[in-house]
Amino acid sequence: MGQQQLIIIVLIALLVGLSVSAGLRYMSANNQSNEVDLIMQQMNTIVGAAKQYALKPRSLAGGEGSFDGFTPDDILLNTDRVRISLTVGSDWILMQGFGSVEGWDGENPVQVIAQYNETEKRWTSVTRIN
Amino acid sequence: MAVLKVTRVEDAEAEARRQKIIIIALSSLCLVGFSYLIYDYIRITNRISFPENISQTDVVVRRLQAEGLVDSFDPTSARLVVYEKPWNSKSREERIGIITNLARYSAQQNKEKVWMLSVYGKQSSALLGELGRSGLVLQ
Repeated sequence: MGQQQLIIIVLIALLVGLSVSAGLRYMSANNQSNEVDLIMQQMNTIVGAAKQYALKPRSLAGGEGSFDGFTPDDILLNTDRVRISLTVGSDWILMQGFGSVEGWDGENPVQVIAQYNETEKRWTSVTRIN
Repeated sequence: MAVLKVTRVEDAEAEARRQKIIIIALSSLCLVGFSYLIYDYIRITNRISFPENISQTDVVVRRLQAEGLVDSFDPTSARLVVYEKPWNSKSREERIGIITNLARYSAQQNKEKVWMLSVYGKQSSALLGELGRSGLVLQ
């Protein structure tokens, strides 16, 4: 076998290695993306609960137009795959959600921070941190 | 029985040229692939990330101080002082992550429900970001 043919075999082996690595990376990114969707879905559920709370009068343990004092049930904050912490203002909720899949850094789980504003009736910020 | 294969000089030269082209093409592909892998690795690992376990936040803050991003952090007053240049060089996502995680940590340390944090510049003393009454605000 000639020298050039040997070089071609080595280069093909390198390319196969690169393709496997890229494939694994793609699968990992896909898993992380699914986890982000899962966290966002849970956050949307919590926003729904917060809106229900805000609609109730204080006499019925509601917020009377405000999110202040909203504390969701633990079942909404901690699911099998997602853990969410939150802080609220009168018309906004800031949530920090962690998934169960490792994020970009390969050490800590996927992390999403999102803020919902009731006055604007939309998510004012959705940020993937890890 | 050994078989002697006779090849014309022109054919041998054409084959050598063809193999050279294949080598150049494969080398280029390898170079592009490795460059992207390195770029991807640096892009991913060069980010600030916080652990889920809030008690480990101290370690991250010490690392940020060693890197020259954070000047001081006082959880009691929920006040973070940073150096403007490295702070502004961080992505919006990283800055949001720092503010939120440190605000949550401060709230836990102070045993408060509401997360609060103010970020000030070391040189300008300007407010660079805040998690307060209006929610998360980044200047």
